[in-house]
Amino acid sequence: MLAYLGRRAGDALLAVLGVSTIAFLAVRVSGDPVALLITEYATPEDIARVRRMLGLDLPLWQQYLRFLADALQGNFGESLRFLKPAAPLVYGALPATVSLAAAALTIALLVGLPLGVVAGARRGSLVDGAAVAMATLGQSIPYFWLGILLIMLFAVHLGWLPAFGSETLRHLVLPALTLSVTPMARIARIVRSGMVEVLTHDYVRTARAKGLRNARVLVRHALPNVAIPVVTILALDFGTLLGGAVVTETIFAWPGVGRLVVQAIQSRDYPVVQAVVFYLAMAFVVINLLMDLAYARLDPRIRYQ
Amino acid sequence: MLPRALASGAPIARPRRHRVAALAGAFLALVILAAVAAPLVAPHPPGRQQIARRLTPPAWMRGGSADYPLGADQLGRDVASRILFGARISLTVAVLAVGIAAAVGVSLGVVAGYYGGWADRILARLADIQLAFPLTLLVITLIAILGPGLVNVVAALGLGGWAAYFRMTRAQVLVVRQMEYVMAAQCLGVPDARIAWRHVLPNAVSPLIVLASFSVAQVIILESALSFLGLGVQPPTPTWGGMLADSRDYLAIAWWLAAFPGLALTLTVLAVNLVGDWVRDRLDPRLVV
Repeated sequence: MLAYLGRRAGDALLAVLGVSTIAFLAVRVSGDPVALLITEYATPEDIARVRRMLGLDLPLWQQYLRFLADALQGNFGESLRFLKPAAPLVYGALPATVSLAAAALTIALLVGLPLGVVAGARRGSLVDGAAVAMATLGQSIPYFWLGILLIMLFAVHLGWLPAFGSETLRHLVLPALTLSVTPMARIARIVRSGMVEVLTHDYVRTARAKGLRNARVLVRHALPNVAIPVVTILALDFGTLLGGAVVTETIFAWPGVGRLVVQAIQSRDYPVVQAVVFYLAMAFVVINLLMDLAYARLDPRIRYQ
Repeated sequence: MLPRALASGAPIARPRRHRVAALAGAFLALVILAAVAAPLVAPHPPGRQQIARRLTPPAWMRGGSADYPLGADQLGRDVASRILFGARISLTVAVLAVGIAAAVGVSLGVVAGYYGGWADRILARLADIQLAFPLTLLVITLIAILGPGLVNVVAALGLGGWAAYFRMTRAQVLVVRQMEYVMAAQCLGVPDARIAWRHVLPNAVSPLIVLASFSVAQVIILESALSFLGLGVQPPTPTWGGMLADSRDYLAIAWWLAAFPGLALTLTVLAVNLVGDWVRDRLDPRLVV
């Protein structure tokens, strides 16, 4: 178990290192960052001074080591747009993204799980057909179109919910709904095919033979055995969710990390891009590790070697 | 009447799936045809602005005109023509990006799986690391480095996608390599490269086709998302994502600007997914779906 943990932590570290290398190169490859900081009236001496100030006069490997050391201390330099340190900007935007993602996942689970159970238990029925159709559509509809449709219906025409901003809980409804549809469809699909498979097993027949009620057979005997693929999907979907959050936050002007990074890329604000990429990579890697460990709790047969 | 047990089983459901897949395939063929023939079938050049016709509603609505079947946008450009030309971008990016990802991933996967050794270990670790990172974020980071534009979008999506093909090819090759017919070929003195490409790869190709069909759908959505965010193919080139981004300022007065490009995008992705489902059913009949 410890050896396994060590290996996984090593992998995780490598992943973060790889991503931060990309983030580091982003600034160097895509043109001289100094060009973004100076005016056209800057003298060569000014430019040299700025280069020295940013450490850009050092050899590349020294710059890289310096970048890594700074990154580990949460120092990514100043945002070129806000003229404030980049890392606190990311911390500030993080709660908005986390609450959006958590709300979306909750909706996805609350709808997707029962839908998948019922569809799987009644395979071939009308409910099953509707669930499969919904899941297929849910996996095909892009976040940004769904978001626009929801705004048109609930904000523009019915006037029930606000379309933009984040002041109240009501502002969370439309973005969370938008972001929930893809994971909801995936959860419903996975639970359904898991149920179809599990329900053919002997222990399910035994449970029925004992005279247990159908609901109890499904929830107590079948569902726990479908949990592993669902957790896997949730872990994988966290990445998809982050990607979806980038788009969803932009549509709904939700002040999260996704919107921050898009604006940063558009205005070539590289310190912020680096900081966001670094922290999201960290978050993603840590969550993957936690999910991996959760397997052992969910399925006692899994032993880490 | 069929017994209930039989009526709820898979064999009955299959023909319906085939019909749905055939319909999806036909729709996809239509989209491809429309994209290829866009200059011939589009009512207007996609960039032509007729300010006098700005925000013209679709033809069947009051104030609509047959000249602008799906309406006109805020600059008086024909929505239908822009959708047709937008299909070219979506499909071109999808085919090229998936092609690049598959070519890179499969070649490296065959080499790594067949020969093993240190190159295999390094590549496998590299793929693991990349797959541990969300694709959307990776692509956006690459675009931040490369800058927007058609070529860079294709490059970012292509480079972002190789790892899945690599991992799958490698796993398949590791299995096929142990087969007797491969050993027989080795005993006969067939060169390694020929064995790898003529004997090993063709027997490992089914799951790769399934993967490719689903990644086409993913790439179409990602390309549109990039265009939507202003990080993809740049205006004035019409893209579905770009049209949707523009539509946001007119949601209250011109619903057609958002409805039709989104519908084109969703239906195309849906069709690709349905065809992908069908391909998977055909190539891997053991799967319970």
